[in-house]
Amino acid sequence: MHKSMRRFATLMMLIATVLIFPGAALAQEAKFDSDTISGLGARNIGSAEMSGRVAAIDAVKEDGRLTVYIGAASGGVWKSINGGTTFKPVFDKEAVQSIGALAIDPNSPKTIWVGTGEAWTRNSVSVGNGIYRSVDGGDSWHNMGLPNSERIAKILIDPKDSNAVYACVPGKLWSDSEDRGVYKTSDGGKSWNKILKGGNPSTGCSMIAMNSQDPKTLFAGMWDFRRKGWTFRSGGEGPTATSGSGFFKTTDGGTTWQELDEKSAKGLPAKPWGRIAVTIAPSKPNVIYAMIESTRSALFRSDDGGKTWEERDRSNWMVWRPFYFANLIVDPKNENKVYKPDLTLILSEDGGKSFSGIGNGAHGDFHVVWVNPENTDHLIAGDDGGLWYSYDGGNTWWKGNNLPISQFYHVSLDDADPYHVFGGLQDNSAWMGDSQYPGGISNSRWENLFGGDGFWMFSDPADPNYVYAEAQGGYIGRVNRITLEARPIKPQPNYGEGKLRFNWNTPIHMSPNEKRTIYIGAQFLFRSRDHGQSWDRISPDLTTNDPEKQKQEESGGVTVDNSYAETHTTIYSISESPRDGQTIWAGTDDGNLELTRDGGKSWTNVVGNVPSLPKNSWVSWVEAGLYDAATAYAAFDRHTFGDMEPHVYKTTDYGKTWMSIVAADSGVRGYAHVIKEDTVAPSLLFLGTEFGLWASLDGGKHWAQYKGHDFPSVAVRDIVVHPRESDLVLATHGRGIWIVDDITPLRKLTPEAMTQEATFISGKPAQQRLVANGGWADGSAVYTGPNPPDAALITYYQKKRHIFGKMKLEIFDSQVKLVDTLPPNSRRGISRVEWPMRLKAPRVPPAATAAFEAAQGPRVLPGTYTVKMTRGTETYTTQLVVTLDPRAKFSLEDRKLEFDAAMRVYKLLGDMSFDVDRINGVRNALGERSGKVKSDAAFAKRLQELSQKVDEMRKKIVATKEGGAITGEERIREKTTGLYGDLLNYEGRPADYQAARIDSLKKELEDVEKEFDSLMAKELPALNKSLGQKKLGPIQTLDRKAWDSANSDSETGGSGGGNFSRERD
Amino acid sequence: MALFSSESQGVALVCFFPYLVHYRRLGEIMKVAISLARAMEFARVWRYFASVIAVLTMFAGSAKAQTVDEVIAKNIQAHGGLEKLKSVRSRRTIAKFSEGSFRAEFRQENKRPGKVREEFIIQGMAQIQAYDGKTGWQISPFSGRKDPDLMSQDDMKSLIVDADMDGPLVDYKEKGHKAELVGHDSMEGTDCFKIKLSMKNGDVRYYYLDADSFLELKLEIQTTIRGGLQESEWYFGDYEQVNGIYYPFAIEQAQKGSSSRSQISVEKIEQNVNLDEAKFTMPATKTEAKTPPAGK
Repeated sequence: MHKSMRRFATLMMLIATVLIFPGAALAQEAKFDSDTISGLGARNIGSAEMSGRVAAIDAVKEDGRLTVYIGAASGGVWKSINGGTTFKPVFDKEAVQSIGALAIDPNSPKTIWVGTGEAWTRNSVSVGNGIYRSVDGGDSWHNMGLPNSERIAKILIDPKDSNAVYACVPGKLWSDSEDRGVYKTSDGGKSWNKILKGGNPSTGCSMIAMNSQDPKTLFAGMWDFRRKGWTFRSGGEGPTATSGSGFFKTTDGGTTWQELDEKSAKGLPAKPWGRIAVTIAPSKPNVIYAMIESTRSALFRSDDGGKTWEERDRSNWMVWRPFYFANLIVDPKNENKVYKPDLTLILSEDGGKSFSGIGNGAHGDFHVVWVNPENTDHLIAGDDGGLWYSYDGGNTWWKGNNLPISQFYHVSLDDADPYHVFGGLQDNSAWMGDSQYPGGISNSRWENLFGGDGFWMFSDPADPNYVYAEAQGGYIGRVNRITLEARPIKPQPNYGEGKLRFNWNTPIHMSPNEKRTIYIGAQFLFRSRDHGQSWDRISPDLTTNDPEKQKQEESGGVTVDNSYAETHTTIYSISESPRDGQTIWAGTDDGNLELTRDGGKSWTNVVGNVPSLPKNSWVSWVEAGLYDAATAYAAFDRHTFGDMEPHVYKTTDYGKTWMSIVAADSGVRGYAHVIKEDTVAPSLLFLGTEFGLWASLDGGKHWAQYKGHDFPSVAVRDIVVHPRESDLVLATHGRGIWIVDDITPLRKLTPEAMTQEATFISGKPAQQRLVANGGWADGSAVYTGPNPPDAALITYYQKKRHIFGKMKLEIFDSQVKLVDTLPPNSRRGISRVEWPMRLKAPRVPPAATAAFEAAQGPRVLPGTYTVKMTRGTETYTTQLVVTLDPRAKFSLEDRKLEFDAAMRVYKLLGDMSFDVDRINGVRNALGERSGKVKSDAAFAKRLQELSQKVDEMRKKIVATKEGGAITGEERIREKTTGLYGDLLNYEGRPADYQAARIDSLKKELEDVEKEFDSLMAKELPALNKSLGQKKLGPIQTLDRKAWDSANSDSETGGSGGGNFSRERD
Repeated sequence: MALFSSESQGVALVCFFPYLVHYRRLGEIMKVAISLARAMEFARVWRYFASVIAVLTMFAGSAKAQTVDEVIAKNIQAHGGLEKLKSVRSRRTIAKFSEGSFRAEFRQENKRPGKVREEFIIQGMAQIQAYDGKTGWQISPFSGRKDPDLMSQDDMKSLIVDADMDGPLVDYKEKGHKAELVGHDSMEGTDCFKIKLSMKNGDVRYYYLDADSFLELKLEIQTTIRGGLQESEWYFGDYEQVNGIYYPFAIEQAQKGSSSRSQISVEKIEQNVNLDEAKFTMPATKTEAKTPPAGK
């Protein structure tokens, strides 16, 4: 577009804007929201190696191929259209990520119902926000109601009527609620009726089953349950206490229900009951199985449609932890074949009389099994370690390696380069992974270093050959990273002392001031300065020590369940001030916030100073300020009381006063897990909640949710800023570890910057990471985490999206020569563009094959470059510093030698291209002339012979055998591009023989050039004379200057290399 | 879809080259081969450039369009109007492709009725894919073979879409597509109309039209190749006018879920140029490499 026209267009746009939004032309406060900051991309480094809990599975055959949907416990919905070879997340834009139920409409494979909120109600379970439907195979979702259900255990769709859908809603785990029971819609989700309600506000639905031949006949297990921070009950408060749990049947689609119990249905056990699982044999619907938790928990079978029952198996894995394992699946073809997911997967082939464990080789803690109705040997099972496939009826298992739904609790980093990531996961031990690796962060770049459930984990700052890791209940070990020898170093109680109370997720803290000092918290705070050889108890009991909250041996309801998961009145968070090693904060799960300023000699509980905070609020995080010993942040998590809101405070006076930094109207959603200061900008804060990551640039006045690279609303349990790299590393509970590379721009995104139409926001200096290749072809069925871009990141901010007119980025060297031009990203807010730091690829003469090793230019030398952005009529500039990789064993001088050598070859390839074009030019001219002198056969022959001679010279320069086979033909071009590739692959000092090789190849080319020149000198004058006599134009060889200028703008190859100056600073 | 044939082309290159080169170069070659495949994908959506707009429609445009036909009409109006679009009988586009350090030249030539030729050029060698209204063919010269090959039905699926010069939204009903206005959606912070286009060939496209200008800002393509779903995302910007028609001069493309995007920068668009029929017809014999410059 002509410049004046462009100006006109811009003007018209301005006018239009003013007309449409009166006053819009006036300066207005720039938006600070999710889109402002989400242009900083994130990368998910996994891992799918350990994966995470799968709560729901459904699958359907479409066009002969198997479509599989997976409901992750806290990582959204995943879809595979190839039977599991590849998966993609399809629920990432929704507000929650916890999935309890999945159902594909039997009448329409593109209609999927999803119940959010997992129903396997362990202590760490997340929450949902209702029932969703997609009618386009998961491309888009609509919340269809039940917003206060919190969790949904099962969805059933009437196979004869897609509008009739049943939802089994256990309801809220942590508080009373009427929003629970069995719900039904008859209009496809527009409206819902509660068709079965519990007898009290803690009783909801644990399972429903439908008679596939008579869909109005359903069975429902109703479950009375409640979790508190310190206890859990499935059923009543004890094995014989009153419970609202019950078992019901309807034959009219839920209009009326009959309760089934020991009186009404012979053979059922005596009440009270806990959780109930129920299923109907698809092939013979009169056969019904129910697992009923009671003082005599067992499997029951009815052969008469539920009228009478018979007790069957009650082996260990049938009755183990019913709150966590209460699912039954009957083979679609055989009513006597029953699966029960449990600690292991168990199978009965005799109608439930006996069961065998068949989960060998899998992780364990199964929750769901899908049996292929067409081939019942084909199973897909979900457990705490992800997804598993069996093709022999469960005898052996393939592990799914492509679901990065791992549930981290914490993450830490070391100072290696590249740094490692350490963290523990729900039921999946403690792992170390790479933050980058040539070829990508495959599953094999993660290493398991401990056992059990994993939580905090640190590289030992005093000896990086060791890590500290822990399993549940404070089972801490110091592990040798090389030998994997693990020394248990858990503090022990004193003589006659009761139990040391270690939380499920026991805090471990590394002193920021002393490399050898480590803390661990029970009810007392322990400190070791000798790697756990000895522990000093540096506090009294810092908790409320409330005996009512210490009755875990009675926890579980009908079935006792005391696994550390409810251990309470414990220290949960520890933070030593980086400014003063004597100042230590400790927060407890029962609501104490304790401070010592004398290294543990005396402690003060300051929680009473926190305004408007209910008593006993769980201190999920306390963080000593990085910049001031008097400053600290505290997050309180009240979800165990049914309050899902964030409560986050800051003190600047050692806890005497606190101010809320997350206002009620802040937009932040979800209970708070972690609050962190940036390591450079004190007012830049990061907050992780159950529903994602939020950032504030102004110390908590405003917050924006981070959604870079579709980062979902997944629980962010821990956050670390790498102090050297400025990377933001996130531990998510459901989607693994994510890294936001270089958050420097967030530090510089000032309110002033945000009022600009556009402005650069510089990041950290760009390192030229060593050229390296790694990894191998792993197939499609594995997850590989991406590396940071192998490029300099150029970051800028735009107040509005750029839509009209040219926008470009240009890079200039210190001599103000244009090095590269980049197409920019036009999004609103922060944008990031990658500059590969390379010159244009060399011009390579055409030959039989492409020379891919010469398809890129040499990497520019380290130095300072200028970036210029043109945006409409405006231009902006910034400086970009490029450095060597600090790991490089070569010096800048070596690098310059490499660059010079590469540029010599680059130039040689340019010369060669000119030579070939020159030869081709003469060939063409000879051919063209010979066509015009057909009457003079002798002269035409002379021209043709000369053309052939010339072509022989071309064939000395380039390989010419075509046909697509491995010809092995190497001429000067092939040798030169090979050398060029070698020089680019290693950026240190070139070998002497490489330097010599450049000279010899150059000489070989010159030999051909001389041969050509002398032939032309010999032949052309006479030839041109003859041509002149025939009124034909003379043949001339190409002129180098003209050729250079004609080829200088080619993106596919620089011509001679002379255009680029090198950096010398 | 044709682009995925080029992806398999990329794979073929990767498989082929370890015999030829030292393994250390494999990574680079893979990158290049993948970039080639990506670059050819750009070709797939090129005809989409027909989506254009006159700035002045903004005045009318901010009024709330209610139905999908109204929104598409606004979009076509934005194209410069149906008449203007139909007046373009042929078009040549020259662009630069980049992904990371890999750069190439990209050319597309369109001619009514329904002919297209796309070239992707590095080191003087052109990967060609073309469709003449009946036959889809390609030349993949990079490993030494320069004969034209027929493209499979699935591989040329999107080449056929590319041959539709006006893009699928124009006369979508006559073309057998179905359109649905999904509603408003924020696209990287910019309010857009989202249109779902279910195409006759089974592809599904989601168009994100800027709520102010009705210009396309983003396109999501779901296409099925040999029964497998392939998903890509396209971002459009730098709209400029060529003879009264607006074209996006900056395009970014990514595989859905991937963090890396490739870019294309349009350098030149020529309309109603003379394009020889032979450009679109499958040659009987092998095509010579790019003609070298003539001597004087």
